[in-house]
Amino acid sequence: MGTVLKTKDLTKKYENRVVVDNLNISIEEGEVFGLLGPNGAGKSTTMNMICGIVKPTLGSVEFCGKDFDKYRKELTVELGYIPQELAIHGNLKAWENVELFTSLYGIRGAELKKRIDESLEYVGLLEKKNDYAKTFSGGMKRRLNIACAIGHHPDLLIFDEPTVGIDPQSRNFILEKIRESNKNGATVIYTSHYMEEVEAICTRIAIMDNGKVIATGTSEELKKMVVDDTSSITLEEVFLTLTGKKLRDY
Amino acid sequence: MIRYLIKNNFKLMMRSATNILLYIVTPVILVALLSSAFNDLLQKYETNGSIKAGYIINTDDTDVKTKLLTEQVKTAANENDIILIEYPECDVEKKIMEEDLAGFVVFEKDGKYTVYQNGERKYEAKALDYLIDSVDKRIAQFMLDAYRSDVPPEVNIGVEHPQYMKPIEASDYYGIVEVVYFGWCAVVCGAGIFTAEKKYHIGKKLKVSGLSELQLFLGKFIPMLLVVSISSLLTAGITILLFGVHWGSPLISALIVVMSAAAATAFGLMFYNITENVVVTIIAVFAVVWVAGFTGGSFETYMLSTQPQVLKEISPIYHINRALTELSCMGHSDYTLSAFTYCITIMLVSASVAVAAGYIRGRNGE
Repeated sequence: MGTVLKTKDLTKKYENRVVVDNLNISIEEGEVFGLLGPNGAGKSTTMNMICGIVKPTLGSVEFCGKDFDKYRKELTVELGYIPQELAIHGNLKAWENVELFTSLYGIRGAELKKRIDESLEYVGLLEKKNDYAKTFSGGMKRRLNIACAIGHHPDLLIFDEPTVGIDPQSRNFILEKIRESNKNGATVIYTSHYMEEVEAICTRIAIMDNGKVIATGTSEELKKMVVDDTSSITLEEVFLTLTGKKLRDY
Repeated sequence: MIRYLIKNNFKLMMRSATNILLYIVTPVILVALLSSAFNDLLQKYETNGSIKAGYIINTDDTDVKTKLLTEQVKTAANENDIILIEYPECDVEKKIMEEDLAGFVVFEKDGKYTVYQNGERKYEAKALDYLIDSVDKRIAQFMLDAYRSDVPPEVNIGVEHPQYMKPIEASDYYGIVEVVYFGWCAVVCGAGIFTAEKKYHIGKKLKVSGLSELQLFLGKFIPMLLVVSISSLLTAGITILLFGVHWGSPLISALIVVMSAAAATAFGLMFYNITENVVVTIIAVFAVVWVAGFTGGSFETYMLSTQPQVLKEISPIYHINRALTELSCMGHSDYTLSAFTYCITIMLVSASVAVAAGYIRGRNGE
């Protein structure tokens, strides 16, 4: 197993405010890597820099051993980004939304049609392929959001809080699909505020605060940083111990 | 790579009821209202027979430029039912009132001239002004051509039938200019997509896929152009059926309408890429287009408008309106070339600025 993603001294400054400060993380092939942090910790900015949406002030992102900025055209096809927002067009049908985003990676014709059906089937929306996205429930839109990001078969899936505001059934379905994608060989980066979700699916977790990674390890390793008896503490308590209970008003 | 982006953006725009309302229903209603409101005005303008005007020459016989202009104006006036009477040195305003002249031309040194217009004979005075302006422009063009080709200028420059003010029906005029005007509001048809891309962070996902700024620009420009062009041509078709609007030279007219839509689309996208704010973009574009339409004859017919000629000439809409109107009533227009030139220039400059703005924003990591 090799390193899929590595950040080297990744830094982002907005005027005088350092949002991400010399971040060095490394994600191995086949991992489900959880990124936790309070609001304003720098998680989204880190995700945006990894995806190439935001340019780092300093440092670099290495993807499969290659500089992402330099080989972006070649590497971007290996990346599937599922944003926190429902990045779909309500006035397009489900299949048209998947077609739009999958085609951006150079897939066309019969192969594109096959991938559209495959992606919709994967998220359980094949029967609704001809329905407009605006008629979908919150959970269905979340699933469609995922279908739009997996049609080009990326090796690295980045989920930015994919279960916000949906019912337990839809949440369970999405988590199952993330596990399934991981079993099928995809490496996953996952952010969420739901600690039990992170604990359930992530093989390794990093906790960020004030733009820095303050702890990394498995759920057990993180708990051991706080107490010896890991059965007496939850991941949420570890998180609060490490980041503090002070409200973050960003 | 962006074929499907163009296709789906096109679908999104075609499914918007606002676009159909703005580009098809509203212009058709406006054509009906304006042509009925201005029908009397244009008919009055048409029925005027010969126009009587005076002139004096305030320079000596050695002034070749003025002599050439005077001769050509006299020839053109003669061929267009304008009676030009030479007067000795006099009080021009007094003379206009005494002789009930439509206007008065004072030819000065080096081909300069001043046209005085009789406020009581507004339409005839405008016709006189229009004729002299047309002749003056033809002489200037002739001089330029002669200078470039090293051929000595001939005295007869052949202003044979300037057909300066051939009558045009109100329905034809407004049927044409309203299609052009609404085409210039092209930015509205992309507003839904701009909003969705921003609100739902779809733009972010497009960026993740590694599309270049040019591809992102074309992904919006092409479908917007298609929607505005199709809607404009459809509106033109509807107004032909409903009001019998005459479009001259269908192919050239259609091409001018499409080029006008292309310029308008690129212009709107440029504002959006600079501001990244839909509301500010729409307000700014509407303000610029309203001014250009106001001076360019979208509301008041450009032939009768009191706007200074120099202001009219600045407006791209004036060149487009005039080219299309003259194609409709005369079958040809000296403004066709300038209309195309204006549209192509605006399109290329706006597109370059739009792509550069997107690139700078991306480089700064915004």
